[in-house]
Parts: sequence; C-alpha cells; structure tokens
Amino acid sequence: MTRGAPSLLTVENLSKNFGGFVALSGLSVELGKGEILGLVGPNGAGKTTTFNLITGFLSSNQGKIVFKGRDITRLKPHEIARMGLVRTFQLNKIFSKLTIKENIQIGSHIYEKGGIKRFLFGSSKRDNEEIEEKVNRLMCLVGLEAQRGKVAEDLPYGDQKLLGIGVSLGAHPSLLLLDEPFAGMNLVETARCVSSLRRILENGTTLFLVDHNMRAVMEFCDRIIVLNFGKKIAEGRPEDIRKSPEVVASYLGSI
Amino acid sequence: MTPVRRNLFLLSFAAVFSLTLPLIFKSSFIQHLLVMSGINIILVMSLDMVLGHAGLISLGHAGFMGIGAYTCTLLVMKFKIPFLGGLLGAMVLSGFFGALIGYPSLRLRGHYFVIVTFICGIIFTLFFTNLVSITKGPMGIPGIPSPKIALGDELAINFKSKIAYYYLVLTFIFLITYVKYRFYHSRMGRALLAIREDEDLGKSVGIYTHAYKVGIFAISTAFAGLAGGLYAHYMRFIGPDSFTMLHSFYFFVMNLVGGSGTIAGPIIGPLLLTVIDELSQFFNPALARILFGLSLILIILYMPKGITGMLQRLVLKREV
Repeated sequence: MTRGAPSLLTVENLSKNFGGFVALSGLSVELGKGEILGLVGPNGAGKTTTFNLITGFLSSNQGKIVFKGRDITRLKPHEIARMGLVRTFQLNKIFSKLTIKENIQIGSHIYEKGGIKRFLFGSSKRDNEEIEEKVNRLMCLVGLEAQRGKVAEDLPYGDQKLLGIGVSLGAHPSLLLLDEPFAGMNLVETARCVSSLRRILENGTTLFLVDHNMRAVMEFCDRIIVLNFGKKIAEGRPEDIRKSPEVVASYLGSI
Repeated sequence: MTPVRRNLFLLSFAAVFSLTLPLIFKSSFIQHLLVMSGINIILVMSLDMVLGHAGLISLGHAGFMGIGAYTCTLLVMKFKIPFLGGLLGAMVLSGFFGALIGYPSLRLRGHYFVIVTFICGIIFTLFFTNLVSITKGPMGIPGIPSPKIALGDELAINFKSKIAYYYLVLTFIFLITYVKYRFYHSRMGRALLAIREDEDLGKSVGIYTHAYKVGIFAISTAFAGLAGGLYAHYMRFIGPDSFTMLHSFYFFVMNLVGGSGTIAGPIIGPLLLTVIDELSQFFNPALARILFGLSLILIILYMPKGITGMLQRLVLKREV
C-alpha cells in the first residue's frame, strides 16, 4: 500500500551522541503520505531522541532529514513546525493555566492573523469568526468541545493528552509525531484516543508515533520500526514484527 | 454582574478616581507622592510586560530607566530637542539596548537570563558614574527644565506644577494600560502566554519564541526608558544613585506585591510601596528597605499571586 506513494519524510543515517553515549546510530526511515508508522523499543532505545532530532529540538551529529522534498536537518523547531511537521511531547505538554479554547487558539498561532493594527484595535469580526470556527472544529476532533471553558490543568489525564494533540493540530500538521500518546491511559481512554487519531488521519494527516502500549501500536500502525540501543533492529508490518526473533528477545519477550 | 461588566465598571471607576485625585488632595506632599507613584507605575507596568506576560524575570530595569533618563535629559538640554522628542529618543535608545542585550541572552533559560539582566543593571550604573564627559558622573545633572509641550506657536503647556505633571504621567499610564489590556486579546499576547506557560510547546506549534522574547523585552525596556524620561524632568536632577540595582529590585518587589500578569497589579503594588517608601523618609530610610523585604516575604508566603490575585480569589469565592 505504501510503496510507490511519494515519500513525505525521509531520514537517512541519523546519528546522535551525548558525550560518549550513542543515543541513536544510523537510523533511516521512509514515511509515505497517509501512513501510520510506529516506533517502538525498550526505554532508552532512542525513540524520543529520534523525535527531538526530526523536529529540530536537538541537532544531529550525522545524517539528513528531508521533509516534503526539503532538507530540514538544520532548521529550528518553529521553522519545521511551520512546514507542517508537528510533534507532541512524552511528558504531556499543555498550557496548563489556560482554558481549552485558549490552548487550541495558541496552537493555531501561525494561521491566526496578527500585525500592529490588529494588536491596537482588535481583529475584525470575520477574523474572529474564522478562528472561532477553526478552534471549534479542532475541539470536536479531539472530543473536548464540551469543556471549552475549563482550565487545562483541571482536566482528567486522558483529556489532557487529547488536548496536547489538539494544540498540535492547530498548526495544520501534514505529519504529526506523537510521543507516547497512549501512555498512562486506561482502555476506555485509549479507545477514545485511537478514534480521535483515526479522525485526524482521515483529515489527511500522516502519523508517526512512539509508544509502549504494544497492543495499541500493533493494532493501530501500518508499519513498525523497532529500536534497541539506538539501532534499528526490525522494520515491517505488525504481524511480521511479532514473529521476528530479535524483537522477541530484546523487547517483547521481556514483558 | 458579569466579569466583563465588573472589570469595565472597575476600570471606569479607577479612571475617574485617578482623574479627580489631585483635586481632592491639595497638599503638595501628597501630590508629590502621586506623581512619584505614577512614574513607578509606568516602570512596573513595563516590567510586568516581561515578568507577568512572558514570564521572564528582569532585575535590570532601573538601568534601562536610567538610559531613558539620561537620553531624554541630554537631548532636551544639549540638543534643544522638544520634550516629547526627548521622550521618544529615550524610548528608542532604551529599547535598542534592550534588544541588544536580549538578543543573545534570551537564548539562555531561566536563571541565567536573570543573572544577565542583574549584571547589566550594575554595568549601566557604572557607565552612568564613569562616563563623566556625558553624564557628569557622580555629580549628576542638575537644572533639568520642566517640560513644555508646544502645540503651534500660540499654545504651549508647561508642566511646571505638580498637578500638571500628574496629568501628564496619568496620560501615559492610560496609554500603557490600554497596550497591556490588548496583550490579553491579541495574537502577540497569546504567543507571550505560550512562552510563559511552556516555551517548547510554543515552538512545536510554530511560534518563533525567541523573536517574541526579544521583541517584548525591547518594548518593555522602551517603556522603562519612558519612565526614566518622565522621572528626570520631574525631579529636575538625575544622578547614578537613582538607577541602581536596589531600584531594580524595588520594582520587582512592587510587581510581585501588586500581582504580576494582571492589569491592576502593577498599579496597586507601586502605589502602596511608593507611599511606604516616601513616608519612611521622615523616620528612617532604612525602614523602607526593611518593609520592602518584609512585604516580599509575606507575599511569597501567603499571596503568591499578589494583592490582585488575592482580591480576585476573594471575589470568585463569594460568587461560588
């Protein structure tokens, strides 16, 4: 299915050392439009490092990252986000003192109109309605429309994670990197999150996710990459991954 | 009353009250207190733009105020530029120095930026003391004329009296209050909130946080420069002793006591502490410092959001 599709993200030979510690060595990833790719591996395998490198929060020692045909290896995080490559964070980040609506509106920063005139005299009614409509749509997408006026830190944990995704959606990602979206969620919350992600996918966003919840990842992803000690040890469809002896030995077997 | 209506009511009440204040209090000393509070309010409001909205702590704002004071004074006295031009020059130069220092140092996180501003404050004071050819060093510059704003050849307003100066300062307070109010309802204000709450999350959705930080620091230091210009022409004398580290610290305390990140906080805090400061001059100037320190400890312990935060909580409690 994915073969032949134009590549959205290409990572070549990506490496990162922290001092003498090799966090990631020679990782290559190819990701097509509309795909769901999963990245799994034991703690410390370099999953979050990979995300930090791709989104510019860390700079790599070696390797090349190409997104939508443009080399983004040396770009800053906000520049990468503006191109439509947006991430969420492992330790869920939200603007905790602000309301749901404000959170999502800040997420839409780059699509909101600014300028000195709007700063001094306020936005026009049409601009306000436009942004209002967009914020409403995104709140529905993550299923938080009923709680728009609530302060983010008062939400239950599962909703906070969904809000984190909602904030990132404001930037119109064509590729969304989700760092452990299911972590700490119970079964009901996981199901809600999966259905939100399905809706996001239908909107034309490609997903690349890291998670420990093997069952959710196996069910949800089209393709999986397994990392161990910073190296890719397997790549393939979920059913193949389950059978790979190396993966079972290093990861699955240990659960 | 809805919160919006209540705020509107409070705002108009405060505006009318502040307009009538010097008419109620005719004593020259109280009018002096009002002007001094007003200048401190402008300075603390400028500090609140970085502290309250973007969550950046600056301990060097008195230094920027000093740059503004010297710039305005020298422009008016040496180059015979009209007062408003001098104020504009003060804002531009302080803002320029703010951007110059902010650009590299705002890449630092948390405490490191505070240390940079702290040291800059000290360095500015050293320059004021040692650039004798420009600032006349520790002797200071006396005889600064009271400002005159000429509207054409016929009409000129002279701000010699305390009442007139009070209204001049009040005008600027109104203007800055409006700018601060707009921070709550604009794209830029929301970007600053994002920086205060979680900078990395802001970056991840495409906000160029560094540019916003440098921008708001430059705007804030420009307004600090404005306060400096107003201070110079009110006191008619400036010297390095008026813009020391200790002053920066006072402004910081005033902001915390009033409540940072609010409209009312940077008005209540300076009003209260300026009155304490000036009154203590009658007894023992050291008393003011003790009271400042004491109020800081009490605020941190019992009112982490300042007086305004406490009042808001009381009102909310009553409504619930």
